[in-house]
Parts: sequence; structure tokens; C-alpha cells
Amino acid sequence: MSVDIIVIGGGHAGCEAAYAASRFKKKVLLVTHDVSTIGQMSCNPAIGGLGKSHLVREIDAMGGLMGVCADKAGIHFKVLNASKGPAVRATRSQSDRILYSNAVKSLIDSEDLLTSVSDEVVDIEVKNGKATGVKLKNGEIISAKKIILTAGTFLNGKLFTGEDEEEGGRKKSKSSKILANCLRSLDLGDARLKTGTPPRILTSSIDFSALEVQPGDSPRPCMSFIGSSDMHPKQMNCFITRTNKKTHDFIRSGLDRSPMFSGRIDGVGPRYCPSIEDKIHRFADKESHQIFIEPEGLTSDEVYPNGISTSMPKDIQEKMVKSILGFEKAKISQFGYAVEYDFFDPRNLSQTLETKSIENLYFAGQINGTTGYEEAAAQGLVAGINAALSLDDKDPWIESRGNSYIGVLVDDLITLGTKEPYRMFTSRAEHRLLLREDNADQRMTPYAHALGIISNDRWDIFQKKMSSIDAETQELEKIKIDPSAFGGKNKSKQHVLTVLKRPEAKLEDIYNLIKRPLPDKGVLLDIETTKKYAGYIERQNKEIKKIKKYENAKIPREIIFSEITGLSNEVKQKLEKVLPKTIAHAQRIPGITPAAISLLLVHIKKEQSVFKEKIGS
Amino acid sequence: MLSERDTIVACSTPPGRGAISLVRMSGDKALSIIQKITKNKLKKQISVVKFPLNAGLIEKCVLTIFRAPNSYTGEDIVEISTHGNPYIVEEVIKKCLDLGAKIANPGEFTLRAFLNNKLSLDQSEAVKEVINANSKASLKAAQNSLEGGLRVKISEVQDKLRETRVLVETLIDFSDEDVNVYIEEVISKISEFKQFFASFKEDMKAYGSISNDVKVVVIGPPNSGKSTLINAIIGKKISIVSEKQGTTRDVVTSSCLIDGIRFVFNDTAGIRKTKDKIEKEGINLSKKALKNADIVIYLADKENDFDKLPITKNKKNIFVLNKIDLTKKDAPVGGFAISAKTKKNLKLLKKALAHNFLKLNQEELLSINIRHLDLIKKAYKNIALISPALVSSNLELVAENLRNCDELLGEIYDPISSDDMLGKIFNKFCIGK
Repeated sequence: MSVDIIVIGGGHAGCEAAYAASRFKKKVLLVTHDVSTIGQMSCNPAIGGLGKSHLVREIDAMGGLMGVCADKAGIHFKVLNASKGPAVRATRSQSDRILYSNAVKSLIDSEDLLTSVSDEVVDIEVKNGKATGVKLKNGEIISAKKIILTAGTFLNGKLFTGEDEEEGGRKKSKSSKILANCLRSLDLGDARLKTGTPPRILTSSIDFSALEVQPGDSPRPCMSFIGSSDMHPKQMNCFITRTNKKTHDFIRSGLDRSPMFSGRIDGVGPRYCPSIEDKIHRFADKESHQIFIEPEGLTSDEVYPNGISTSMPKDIQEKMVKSILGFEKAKISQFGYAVEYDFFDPRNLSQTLETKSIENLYFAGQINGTTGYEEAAAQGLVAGINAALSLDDKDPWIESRGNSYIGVLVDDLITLGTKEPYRMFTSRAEHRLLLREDNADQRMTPYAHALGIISNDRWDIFQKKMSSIDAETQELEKIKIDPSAFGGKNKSKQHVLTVLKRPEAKLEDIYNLIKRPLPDKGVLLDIETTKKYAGYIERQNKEIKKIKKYENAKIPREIIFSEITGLSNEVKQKLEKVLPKTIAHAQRIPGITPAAISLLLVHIKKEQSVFKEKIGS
Repeated sequence: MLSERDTIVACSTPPGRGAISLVRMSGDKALSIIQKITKNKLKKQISVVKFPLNAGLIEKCVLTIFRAPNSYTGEDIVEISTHGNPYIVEEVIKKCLDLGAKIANPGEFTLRAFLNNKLSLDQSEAVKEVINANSKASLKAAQNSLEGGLRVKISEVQDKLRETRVLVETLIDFSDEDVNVYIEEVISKISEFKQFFASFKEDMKAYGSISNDVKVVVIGPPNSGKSTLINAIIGKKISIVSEKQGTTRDVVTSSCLIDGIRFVFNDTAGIRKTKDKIEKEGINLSKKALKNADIVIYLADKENDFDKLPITKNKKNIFVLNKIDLTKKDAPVGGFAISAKTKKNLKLLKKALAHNFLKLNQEELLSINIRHLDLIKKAYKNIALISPALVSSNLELVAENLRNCDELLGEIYDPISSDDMLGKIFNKFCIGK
């Protein structure tokens, strides 16, 4: 059997990769342990949040799955940082687990060229440094031009609860041990990471009357640019409770039996606190920790108590849960556990997420050391689109840090690598003010349209929004108002857009003042933000323009960094590890000085002329 | 960061050495910057223009224009020839920086010349050497200038700045987490920081550029010939002037140029035990002058008198034994034996003064200091923009200003990455679900 692209893994990275590639009219095969688990949310049933929702909006702007599915399955929506400026506002949604996975499956199934099968890949076929196919458990070999590996936490996955230890990628799912060992033999530089999950509690056993209610926002925001609140199913509340001294005492009494503290887990956890035992250990003074109770779905009898991820022994988990307000009679349906798994140093990947050492093999998702559905999905999209573009012999899709969080994500991974599960935060983006949730479509949809991978509906909605922004702006330019209504001291009338620059002025209020019907929220937000951020946007754009020159300054493949005279050995090693493709990329490697860049520029110029001469003669 | 789009400026002659210094500026904006400053239309290749400096001073200098591509770098170049006074050079460069030029990176003129095909490809190795040599010199100079006060002060500012950033970034990225940070705390923290930074900025002005005069203090027992020595060096007699009502014996200063560098001499009261109140005051002033000195001349007329002086070990010390016209004496180790009266060996001492100073690698030091001051000024501008209203309405813009400030200071010393910033947040707050 032979296909264009094989995607290994049916998680969030795998699904985006397979779906995006199939939009290019490629024959795609998605291989996963069990097709019924496609699009499953293995951790908490939430999508979005700070930094993460920005990724979702970008995936959506490119025609990906996550935003639309989050709208179809969302049972609780909230805008975080609503009181702050638009660049750092973020939408967070709770999903009904089943509805979410169904939404993903139905979109995957809707693509004729995309087939998914339940099977296990045990090896990747490599010939002359090129991946050529995969070997299934029964020995069958399927050949493909491109292979995208999105194995998540399944590579050599090990689950820990107290002293118990078992193999697996998540509960009730086996791990990929054979594949992991085969990959290790390819010498791609692997290491271990860990993550964890809290005990799940039966809804019917919780006394909600004692708990703080957190309802969703009204009006409800949407995740997708083409989403609407009509798509949302029935909404549910979240709840908040807290740990107390008793809880902490129980945890402390069992620390010696915790796999995290007894040294049985080698994997590196994040610097933020992944587990409740970490929190209590590292912040001993803090008397109580918040628990955010997330419903698992409309038909589910489970909740996800976010904030008490743990791998403590079962008896301790039982005691600590019952010590918490509202959980006094709680029944645990599944105990918390820690997962330790293999990941590969993402510095071995190029900007398209293709491995540098094996052509046609792409890595995406948690296997690259990230954590979170959104981060995984974004990488899946990058790998899927680039694999397809490469088959068509087209220029790769490479996002810059100045254009998207996807650009920040990929660049951070391939340039800096990671020592802990990498999670997106808005503070990672130096051009944060430009990369807003509400303008992801403006940043990316035209490109996706040019690639031909988005629906006509999406394109129409986008164009309508843009022309509305133009029309409204033009109209507003004509109108003058009295600025004193918005704290202005000037008595003569001023242009609306000038008044809008005042911190006190809100565009919505101005519309009400001039008695003009309100346009769509997205339109309103865009006009307002562009005005209010004007000076900052200009400065960031200048920075980007400067960098762009060096983004375009390619480092030829032929350059051998170790041959550059004048560079210190340390700098040479750093360059050789990352193998930057542009000068801008080289500049971002920590420890690369301006002098080193100068030397590199001189060397490239010299080498290029030598190279040209060779071709010429 | 290196960027070809920038217009770069630097002093390309070692200041102080000759009668003329040359400031060179290269890039797209070189001509427009100089036009704005001098109001000259730049029609001639060479012109004499009036270059306004600070405080109403005007320097007459010679401009030489080389238009792209017919210049050393292949870009528009303006060469500004000024009098060889480091103060003037510094002011000229500062003016250019204010209008958008950047201090050139080590070897950057040569790099640009090479990249713009102004040097042959065979010269690539030589170009690399220039870059490397200059970058080493500049690094060393930077380290020198960062030693002591500045580094401590910069990191103090950075610590406070980053504490504030931790709060702001936490409020932005972890607003849905269980962290107890309130806007009021941020507002007070920022106003506190603003004040701190403002006074730091003032300090930095005083910390001063080395192109301020070189301060020389002459210290020695009474009647060792201090005044005579200074008079001999500056070549004219200065009188001891008392303050208006003659209450204190002041430190008397006078100056002269040696090799184009301006030296300011402080004559101090003789150091000895005294009960005279006025003289005591004078001695205290002497001690203060000693602390601020760039060079200290210890003067004695008897060899064992050196032991009686309050000598602090320092490379800026010069030991001088005076009155060799009266009795024959050997020069102290590494020092000089002279006669202030007959001016014997005086030339040697003057050379040593200039040499001692130039050892500091003046050229690099000069531009590094201007660069530091420029960065601090720009960093402060970002902080000045933050108002309590902005904190309440657009915290992300506050964060942006703070980040810009941190980045600019990081160009002087100890930059911080966004990942390290996250590390600080995770250390302070219990975050994670």
C-alpha cells in the first residue's frame, strides 16, 4: 500500500496535520492505536487561555480544526483579562469531552482523501537518510512520501500512582515501546519529561451548594472566526474550591511514597508547579491552593478538579480529596497519576518541523517537548501544511515571530530547545501587541486562502469583516465630536478617531453618542485597537522591518560553521547545533554576539562568491 | 543588534592625541541628520559649518561628505572634523544619536565596506581580524567601564525593574491563576521605580563621561612643592584664592592641555595633623578630591616622606620626588625624580600623565560611555510614559514599556530572556494547574 502522507497519532497534533494535508488534496493515512480515541482530550477538558487561545485563533485562521470543534463542544466560555487591552485578552472554553472528540472525528471523516486506521506503527523505514514508510505491527509496510510523527506521551510512556508503575501513554491506552526503541536507534537526541493529571471525581458525589460558582460569560465569546454562539451546546457552570491545612498534612504524610519525590521519575517537570505535592513542597507558606472544578461534559458524571494533579498513592489521594470543601463524600472514579515519556530535542528540527537528519520525517506535538493541546495542534498544522507544500514543490510555510504565536512557538523550539514541558505564554511573544486574538485572521487567512485550504464561507466572512472595517473607518473619519465627553479639555470639536486615542474613550460609547448602529464586535475592536495602540504598533512594526532584512538573509546550506575563522569554539558549537538558515535566526541563538554575526556575514559573502565561481566555470 | 538599516556613528581618531578629531557617520540618514544639526545644505563636498553643542556653545568644524556609493562603506558618509577635545567629540556624537544614529559596533565601518563590495573578497580574513580585534578591545573597555559603580547601579535598577515586571507579567499571563497581585500594588511599585530610575539617571550624568576633564590631585607634605609643580606644569602662576570671606582654604584648581587632553589639577592643603579649624576643613576637602581623582600625584622632597602619606594602592598613582636641584636623588620605583623649580624631567612627567590616561583605551571608552548614557536616557523615556491611568486601562502597554526599558538596559549589562522572566515568575508565585 502506498500513500502521500502518513500521520502517526490521532491526538491534537496528528488530527490537525492529517486534516491540513488532506485539504491540499493529498492522500493521507492516519494511524492510531484506536480510532475511537481520535481527538480525545487526555488532560483537562479546556481549550484556550492566555497565549493558548491566541494559538487556537491562528490555527482557526488557517482553516484548522481546533477552533471550530471548541465552539461545537464548548459548554462554558470566558474571556480572560477582559479588563485589560485587546492584545492580552484570551478566550477560554470548557468542552464536553465526547462532543469535542466527535466534532474532530466528523471533520476528519468528511475529508475523502483522509483515511484513519487502528493499528500500531512499530518502525519507520529509512533509506539513504530518507524516510520512506512505516512498518505496522503485523509486519506490513506502508510506503509514503512524507511521515509525520505525533506520538504524544506514548513513546515509552510510563504511568505512576504512588508505588505503582505501569506502561502506557494515558490511562487505558498502551504506550509505543517498540517504536520508541526504533527511534532511539536513529539517534535523534531523546530525553524524558513528565506531566501529571488529577484524580477524577464523580459529579454526583460532590456537594456543590458549598462551592463558589463560576458561570460563563454573557454574551458568550466564540473560539472560531466562523463560529457563533448558536453552535454552542447547552452551557454549564464551573466551580471553585480550595485545599486546606488538613489536605496539606495528608499530602506531606505521603511524600516519601510519591514517585516524584522518591526519585523513581527521572523526567524533568516544568518550573511551574505541575502537581499539588510540588506546590506544597515549594510554597510551604501558602496555606491554601485554589481548585477549579471543570465539568467533563453534559452527559458525563465526572469532574476534573484542576489544581490537584498528583501521583500520590491511592490511599493518600482518597484522604486528601475528602478533606476538601464540597468533596467530603467524593467518590474518585479514576486516580491521579504522573506520566513520564520520551521527547526529542526539537533543535534537531528545521522550521518546517522536518527532522534535519532524516528527510521527509516530521515531528509534531508533545514529542517535541511541549505541553498542551493548543501547542500540539499548532505544530501539527505546521508539519501537515509543510509536508504537503513540499510534495507540491512549493515554498515552505514559515511563520516569523512578528507575525504569529505559531512563529514564536516553532522558533523557540528549534532555536532554544526546551528543558521542561514547553507551554505558550503571551510574554514569550516580543511583538505581543501585534499578535492579538482578534486579528489572527488578518495575519493569516489571506495566506491560507492563497494556498487554497480554507472554505469559501471562511473567506467570505473574512472579506466582509475587512470591508466593514474600511467602510466604518472612512465614515468615522468624517465625523467630529466634542472631546469633553471623554475627558478632553479641548473645547472645539475633534475627529472621532483622534478622540478615540484618549484612554477614557471607548468606541462603543462614541457610536452611541453619534447614534450610529454598532458594527460587528470584531470590527469595533479592530478600529479601536488600531487607534489606541497606534504608537506602539508603529514601533513594533519598525522592529519587525529591521529583523525582516535579516530573515531574508539566508545562510547557504554549504556553509560549514566550524570552518569560520575568528569564531570561538563555543559559538561554532552553538551554530552547528541549531544550523540556522537565516542571519536573523542565528542572531536569536543565545550567546551569539554581534561580532560573531559580522564574522558570519563576511564568511558567507566570501563563500558565496567562491561557490558562484565554481558554478560559473 | 546589528542592522544595516541603522546609521552608525563613531569617533575614528583616538581623541586627545592630535589637534583634530574625526567623527564619522555612515548610513541612509547620515546626510539628513547633519543637515538638521548644522542647517547646511551640503552642496559642497567640504564645508566649514557651525555645529551647535549644548549650553549655547558652538563648534566650528569641517564637514566632508562622501555620497553613496563613492565612500569607504559604500553608504552616505559624513566626516566631521572637530578640535581634538574629547568634550566636543562627545557632544557631537550625542547630537547625532539624538537624531537617530547608533553607535557603531566594533569594526562595523569595515564590515559595511566589505559587504558593499568596497573591499576585495581577498580581504575577508583581514576584515575578520579587524572585527575581532575591535570587538575584543571594546569588550575589554566595556568591562573596564562597567567595573565598580556602574555595574552595581545598573543591576540595582534591573532588579527593581524586573520585580515590577514580574508583577505585571503575572497579572497578564496568570490572571486566571490563584495569585494575589493587585493593580494598586503595581501602581505603587511603578511610581517607586520611576523615582528610583530618575535619580539613577541623574547620577549617571555625573558618573560622567570620561571626556570630562582628567582630574589630577597632587598630594604631599607641606612645602614639598605642590603649588610650584602645578604652576610648572600648566606654565603659569596661579594664586591661592580664598572663598569670598576667606573662611576656608579651598582646593584650588587650574587646568592645561597635554597632548590635547585636558587635565585639571587640584592643589590640596598639605596633609598633616592640625588644630586649625579652617585648615582641617581644607584637609577634608583634599580627601574628597583624592577620592574623585583620575590620577594622583604623590609628591615628596624626601624619600621616606612617602611613607607618611595616606597612600591607597591604585594604578592611577604616580610617585614624584621633588627638588633634585638641591640634592641628588634617585627616582622612586616606577616614578620620577624632578625639579619643579628648574623644570628638570618635567617633560617626562607630563608624558607620563598623558600616557597613563590613554592606557585606558580612551577611544573605546569614550564611545562606550556615550552609548551607556544614550541607552539609559532611552530606557528612562519608556518609564516616563507610564501613568497610573495606563496601568488601570492597558496593562499590556505598561508591560511593553517595561520590557523595552529592560531590553535597553540589557544592552549595557546582563540582558534577560523572556524565559528567564518566566522563571522569576514561577519562583515567586505558585502557578500551575
